[in-house]
Amino acid sequence: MMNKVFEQIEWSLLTPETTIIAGIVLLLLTDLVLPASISRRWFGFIGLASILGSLAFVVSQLPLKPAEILFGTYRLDPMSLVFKLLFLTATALILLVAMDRKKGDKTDRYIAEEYILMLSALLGAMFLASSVDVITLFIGLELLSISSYILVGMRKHERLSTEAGWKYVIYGGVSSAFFLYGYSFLYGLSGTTNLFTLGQSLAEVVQSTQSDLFIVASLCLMLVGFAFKISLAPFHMWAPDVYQGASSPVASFLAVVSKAAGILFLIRFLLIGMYPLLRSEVWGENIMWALAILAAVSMIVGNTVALRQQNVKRILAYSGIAQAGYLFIIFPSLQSNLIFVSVGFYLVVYMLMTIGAFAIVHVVSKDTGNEELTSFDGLVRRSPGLAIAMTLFLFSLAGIPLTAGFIGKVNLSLNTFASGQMWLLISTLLVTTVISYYYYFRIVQRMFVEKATSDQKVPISFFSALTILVVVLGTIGFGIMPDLLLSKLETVKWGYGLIPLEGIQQLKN
Amino acid sequence: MMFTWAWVLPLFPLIAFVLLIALRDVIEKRLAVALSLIGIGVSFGFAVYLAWIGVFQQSVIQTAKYQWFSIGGKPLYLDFMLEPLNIVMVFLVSLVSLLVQIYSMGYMKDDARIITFYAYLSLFTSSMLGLVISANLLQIYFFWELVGLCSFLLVGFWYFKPEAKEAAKKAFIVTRIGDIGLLIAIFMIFQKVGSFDLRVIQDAVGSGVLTGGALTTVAILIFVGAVGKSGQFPLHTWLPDAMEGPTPVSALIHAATMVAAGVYLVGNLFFLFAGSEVALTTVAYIGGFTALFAATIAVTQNDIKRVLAYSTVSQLGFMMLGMGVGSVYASSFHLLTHGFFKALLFLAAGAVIVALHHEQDIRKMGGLWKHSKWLSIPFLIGCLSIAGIPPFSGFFSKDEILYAIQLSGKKDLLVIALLTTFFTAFYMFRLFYLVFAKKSREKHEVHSIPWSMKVSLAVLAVCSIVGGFFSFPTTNLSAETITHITKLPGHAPLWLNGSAVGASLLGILLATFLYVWRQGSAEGLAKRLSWLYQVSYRKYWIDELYQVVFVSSLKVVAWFLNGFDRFVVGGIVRFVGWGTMSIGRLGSMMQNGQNQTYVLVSLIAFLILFVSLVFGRLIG
Amino acid sequence: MLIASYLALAAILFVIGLMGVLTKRNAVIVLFSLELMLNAANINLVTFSKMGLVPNLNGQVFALFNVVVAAAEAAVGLAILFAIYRNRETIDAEKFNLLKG
Repeated sequence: MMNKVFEQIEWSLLTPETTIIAGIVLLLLTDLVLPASISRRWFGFIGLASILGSLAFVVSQLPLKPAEILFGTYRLDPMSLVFKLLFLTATALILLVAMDRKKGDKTDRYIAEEYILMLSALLGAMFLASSVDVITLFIGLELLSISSYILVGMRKHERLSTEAGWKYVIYGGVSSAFFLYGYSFLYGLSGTTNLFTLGQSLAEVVQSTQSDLFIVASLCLMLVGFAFKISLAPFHMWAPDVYQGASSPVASFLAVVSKAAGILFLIRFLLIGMYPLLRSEVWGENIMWALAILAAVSMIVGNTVALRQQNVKRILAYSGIAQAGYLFIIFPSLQSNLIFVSVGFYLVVYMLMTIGAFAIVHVVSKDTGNEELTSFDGLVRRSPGLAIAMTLFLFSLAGIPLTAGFIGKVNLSLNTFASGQMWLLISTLLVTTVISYYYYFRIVQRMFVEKATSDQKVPISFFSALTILVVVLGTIGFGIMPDLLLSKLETVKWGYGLIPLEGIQQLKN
Repeated sequence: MMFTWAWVLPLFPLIAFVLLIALRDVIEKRLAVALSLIGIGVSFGFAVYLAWIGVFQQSVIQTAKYQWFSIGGKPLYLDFMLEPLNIVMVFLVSLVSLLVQIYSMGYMKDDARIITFYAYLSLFTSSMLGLVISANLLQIYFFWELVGLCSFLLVGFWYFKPEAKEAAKKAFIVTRIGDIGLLIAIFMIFQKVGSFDLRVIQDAVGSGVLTGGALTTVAILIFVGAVGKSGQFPLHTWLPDAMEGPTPVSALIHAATMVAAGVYLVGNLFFLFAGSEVALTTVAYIGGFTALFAATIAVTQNDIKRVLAYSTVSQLGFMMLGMGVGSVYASSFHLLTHGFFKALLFLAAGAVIVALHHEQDIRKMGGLWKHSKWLSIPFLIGCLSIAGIPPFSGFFSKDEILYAIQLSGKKDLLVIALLTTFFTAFYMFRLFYLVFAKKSREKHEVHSIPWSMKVSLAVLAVCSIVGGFFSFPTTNLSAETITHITKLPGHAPLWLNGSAVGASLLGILLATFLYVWRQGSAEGLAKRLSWLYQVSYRKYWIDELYQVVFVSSLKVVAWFLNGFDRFVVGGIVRFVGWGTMSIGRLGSMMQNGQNQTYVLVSLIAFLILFVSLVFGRLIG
Repeated sequence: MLIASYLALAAILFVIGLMGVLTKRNAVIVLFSLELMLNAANINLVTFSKMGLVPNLNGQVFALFNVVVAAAEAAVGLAILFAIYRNRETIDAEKFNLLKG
């Protein structure tokens, strides 16, 4: 009986995840078997190989029909595939940067662990992308989170790193507890962990006035969990400290993969499980306002507090909080198709520019030993290429034309505009964007105006240079010819990610 | 005829920019300058060709469009237009840019970063050319921002000067405030009409999709964008500060690129304004106020470039005034002639500055007339032109604007315009006399100016003289155009011509009186102006009267406006900055490093979220 | 027994845990309090799996998963705390404030 069940499951759908697991196991074993005297610097290639393998499998799955395995918990649909592509590409680029290490780095001993944890965090994100069941969603999320806690606190001889790890664990743990506690009430009302069934039973429950308070309470509790992952203000306060304490590649991993995973988590939960509540006459409007205010607060807090920062990683962290706010402006409109294309595009763009900026911070801070603004003094006279690339990323983050960031922002705000009268959000976006110029330009000014502290070129490995080149091309390319990506995103059938399998089959007939 | 090559206009300077930036460490200086000149030269060639076809042969030029990307399933095109207004702008921009680049060969020849300078100039020209041929709002915004960015780079070109750094930042940020208005307007149009295409939007206005209050709001928001770029009150504060950039840049910004963009935008989108009386009135009054306001401030300025900067603000206000009373024809005409004579004035001022070893204070200048005819004659031509003395070009275009105002029947605006004319003539000739007349107040060894500067000055001087005799091209009524440019009916009445010239002459006379005659020693005066001897008593009295009535009261007004500018407008700006910083400080204070505070903040946020949701439910 | 009493127990545990996280200076206690919060959620899940509107086993399964996750989180937390202690010889949570601003 049990055998039959296992035979019926199409295990081939899990190939991307299995490849990552294989990579993890291979790294673990090699690390174990290899004598301690042998350098482990090339381990990154194993990780890279498994990511590329997984990427190939995901690409091969693209033409497949939506399917579900493991009793409806794991699902293959266009939405999950696109997000997996994003996670995999981002991690591959970050891994390339992480392989650029200082000679005789103290952390070389844990190099295998670092790559393993990055892969397992990636695995968590990929699982999350394919889940429509709260249990697997949560497990995927926690796999991602716990791996990143360790990644952050990994450089255990550094006080900042361990402190950042501590803060991340506690804040993350509290947020998880909030999420779980909130969800437990929904479970009580619906008795299911499947998001689709949850949506259906909530649709009935929402009508009764006694229970709807419970639902709203649990939504608010769970929002703490979501907002933590996405680093939306006022649930953002861990982010600057953690980014500063973590190594730059890890920080960019948190800023890109972890944030994108959080957004996917939120999308699935809100638009499937909580949809009846959002569409209810009584609550819908108010909840949209709450979401809108979260977005507005993020933009304001992120952009104003960044003005006071001296550490480039903290500036990027606050800018990331503001970017989360930008990304979030379209959610209150609740028009799924518009949400996906513009959020998808912005996420890709955000991935490129954030990874690029952090990669340059990594390279520069490796040379100067810190990430203060002063490290960037006169960079243009030391390594003009790096300075120009950094300027490009900052311009893109600021949303200046000719960069992908501009198109992304225009696209987001236009779609928000087209879908409703979100005046508050649009004007906040525009005003805070102007504010953001100050701190982005401060870095640019440092690089181009101040005197350099040394006249030597900043050493950079081939792989970091490659990564930076790739993201530069992407940032300019999507800035000038956004249609390359936009047209593809528009053909993706996002809606399939929000309806049950039977629904999709009916649609096709 | 069909001209599918519109996109090459901005392309050549752009190629020059890329080459210069990429090769700046290896390339020979002369070669770099030559490359840049070739880039802009080719564009100028195209501009001449287009002007020949579109303006002299009067044929309608069709353009092609290319898909760029799509938003929400709606395709967005790279779209161009080459109507008379666009062609004239292309011509003006490429001509002035070319001359400024030739001029800079002399002006910047000792600067170590001349290649970077030329690269920026090329990019600036390229983005401006892109702006004036775009037929799509998003595309316009795209280039609009690029123009802003370039002016940031160029104004702050001498970044080692702290003032230049500040000025560049101010220019960028202040114009951005206006840009927000423009962007919101673009979004609103997109929401209502569902397209960025100017032709589609024009149809929508015609068919009544976009009318009434929405149209007024959109038009005013677009005007806010133009206010920022064109330095209209109250966003004019960046323009005088932008004088910290190299003088050729000032010429480029003031004559053909950056600030012209605002007026051009209003002209090009005039169909939006035409439908709204409120918007037009706003434009007219803001323009009129700025014109007079800036002209009075210019009277008390002592920096040669600042006088010219305020004069630009004032003249732009004049153009906006013309737009506001409904005449694209008159304003565009003035934009063109102003482009010539303002470029001429700035380049001549730059030459003066070079000749006097980078002295900019006009109180320390004087007596240049004898030293260099190459400088003084072009400068005089510029002054006469801006003052509106016939037959110089400024006279014709200014006259058209005055006539348009008179036709609109707004008497108060006509008075403002005539007063502005008077002040303009006064401060320009004050400047002229202080710099060129009499003896130098400080001993300067006067440098000779290189041939490249002379060439540019000569060409612009010729343009300033003859520019007015060509009438501005009008659109073919049978063709479908976005901007209708039609001549004003009939001719301006003689009394209007007379009073305009009279006002100018009065201004010049007053300036002559105060800065030439009164200045000389008593014997000198007596010898030269013996007929005034008899009325010496009265002369003295008039002199005092003038001193009290004109100069002092003028100074009071100017100081007052200056103070208003500095304290009220500046105060608001500072307050906004302070507010922003305070929020930042507060956020940073809460980020006190204690994880427990962070958790507490999120707990409080959660409680607020929940309570307000429940509360919203109860009251709503 | 009434479902309300179980829910009340969970709520009290959750709040105690939260207060512990917010106020305790000893970092180990903070970790313990965190566990209390997670377990409050588990009690809720198990309660609802027995007495909810639609009683079924899913809640208990989820609770089991959560126990594992909570244990992993505690382990990581303690490990990081060890590292901090080695670096700084203190586990006073109030002193972990090098990163701020």
